[in-house]
Amino acid sequence: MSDKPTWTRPHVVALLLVALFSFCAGVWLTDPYWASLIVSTAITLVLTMSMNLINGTSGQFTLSHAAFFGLGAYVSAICAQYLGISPWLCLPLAIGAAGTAALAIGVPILRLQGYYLATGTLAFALIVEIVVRQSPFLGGPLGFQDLPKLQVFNVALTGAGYVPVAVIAMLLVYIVIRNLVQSPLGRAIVATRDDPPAAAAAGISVTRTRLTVFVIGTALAAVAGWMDAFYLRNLSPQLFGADLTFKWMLIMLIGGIGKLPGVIVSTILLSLAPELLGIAAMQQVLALGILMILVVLFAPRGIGGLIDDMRSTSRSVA
Amino acid sequence: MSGPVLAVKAVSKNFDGLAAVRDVDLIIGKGEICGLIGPNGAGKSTLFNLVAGELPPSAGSIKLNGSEIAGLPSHVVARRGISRAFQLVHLFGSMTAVENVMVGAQANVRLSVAAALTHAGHFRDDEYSIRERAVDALDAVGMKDHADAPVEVMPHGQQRLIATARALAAQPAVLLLDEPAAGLSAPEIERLAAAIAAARKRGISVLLVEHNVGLVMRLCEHVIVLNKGEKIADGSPAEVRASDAVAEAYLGR
Repeated sequence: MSDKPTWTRPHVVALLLVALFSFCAGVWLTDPYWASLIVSTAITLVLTMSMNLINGTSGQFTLSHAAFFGLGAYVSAICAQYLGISPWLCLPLAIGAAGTAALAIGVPILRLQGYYLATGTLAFALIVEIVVRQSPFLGGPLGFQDLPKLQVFNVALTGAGYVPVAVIAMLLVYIVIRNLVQSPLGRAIVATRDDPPAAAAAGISVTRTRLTVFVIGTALAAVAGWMDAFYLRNLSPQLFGADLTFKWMLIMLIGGIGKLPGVIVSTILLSLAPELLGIAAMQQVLALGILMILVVLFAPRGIGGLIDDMRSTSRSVA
Repeated sequence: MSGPVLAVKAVSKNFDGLAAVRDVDLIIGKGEICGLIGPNGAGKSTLFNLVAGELPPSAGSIKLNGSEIAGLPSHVVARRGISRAFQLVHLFGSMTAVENVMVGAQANVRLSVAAALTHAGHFRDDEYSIRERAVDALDAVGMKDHADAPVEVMPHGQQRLIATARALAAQPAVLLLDEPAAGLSAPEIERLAAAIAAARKRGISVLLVEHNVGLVMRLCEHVIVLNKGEKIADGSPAEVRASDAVAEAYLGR
């Protein structure tokens, strides 16, 4: 028991992701449609995994994730287009900008909890979206067009060439989140969610821990923003839309809030299925809603709960 | 011997004019086990909350190893070396037993964001030693065999032992235990008594609120009796037992 540390187990999930990656790598060489599907799935994974960190692992129900996603994309666009900074360097700048913004907004807003926190963060997200739409400096309702391309040794990474960038970025985000959860800080985060007074009695600053996880989670949303910016290279204020946050939230709830493997499975399924089944955007929202109801009725702990059950039965059989 | 570990002087707490604790003094030396008893509503838990930083005192001073801690927030008090187990069991419900105790064992570890995200440097060694300390604390309360069990499904007595182990694992200067024997079976009480005795041997001072008078009389060299927020007796178990004021407070006249 004590000679087998806890951090070796979830490598199974990492292996699955790498396997998926190699499968995808085989496909994108020939098919741009698959490439776009893989890139958008990778971006959504970064968003749902990081949102799950804030809303699930730390239990702070926030609805501002799209604002930081959009912020990451727009900061990347401004740096690349107005300031002529290399698209690669835009990544740390986007992370830094979102982290700083999260710190500034988090100090006052994370004093709220429950419905108030959800409402407060939603209001913040809506205000940001409106401001962005109205700002000529940010391109108003049109946003940004024709951003420079990501390049490696003067080879532009577009279309299928973007797949490795997206998948590697997504894997790095996964590793960072998994590392965080399996660390003293990760235990402190779960402790403040489960029982704040007991966490404080163990020397944990509840306020500081909540703020830290919010800043990390939103900084990761900015990574997704950066990924999106240099893939599409045309940005619109829709990136800031709260409807995106709600979509990720539904994916997260279906996956099982706070359960990383479940959220990953749910994101992959729900990103690929509508495309493969040919469901239109409007019907997608409807389908997600129906799926949500089914999950609440038959698997209230989501896909992650089913995975837990399978694990515990296989353990008790063995 | 270099002065008391915990020195509470003339501490009072008022709630809207109602005095829950009035002018209480309390001194605990290194490795001393001090019992705190009194009828319901005597102010025992309020005094605990004052020492643990859960509540600021209305007046008075609380010194830990000579430095003032009155009014500091509870997580700062915990880091200074006061560790507590609550009267109602407060465990982290989604964790296993050993994870719960690891949260206690890491109380003195700086939570580095960089190390958490990258697992770089000494991360594995540090994590291993946190886990080792947690397993030791579980062993001290006789719960080592349940280390990987989820606490949510444990019987109440076991949960209480885990909570005590979590407070112990922080290796505090002062351990505050609020009715640690409540709901425990006889063999579990023996494990608890052994754990408290072992803690004292390592130089940990203990302040113990307990209704199990037998346990208090056996473990403590020093007992304080509160009634209606005031200290009415302070001395060895035998002296306290012989006190008229104590008999009156418990039995009435």
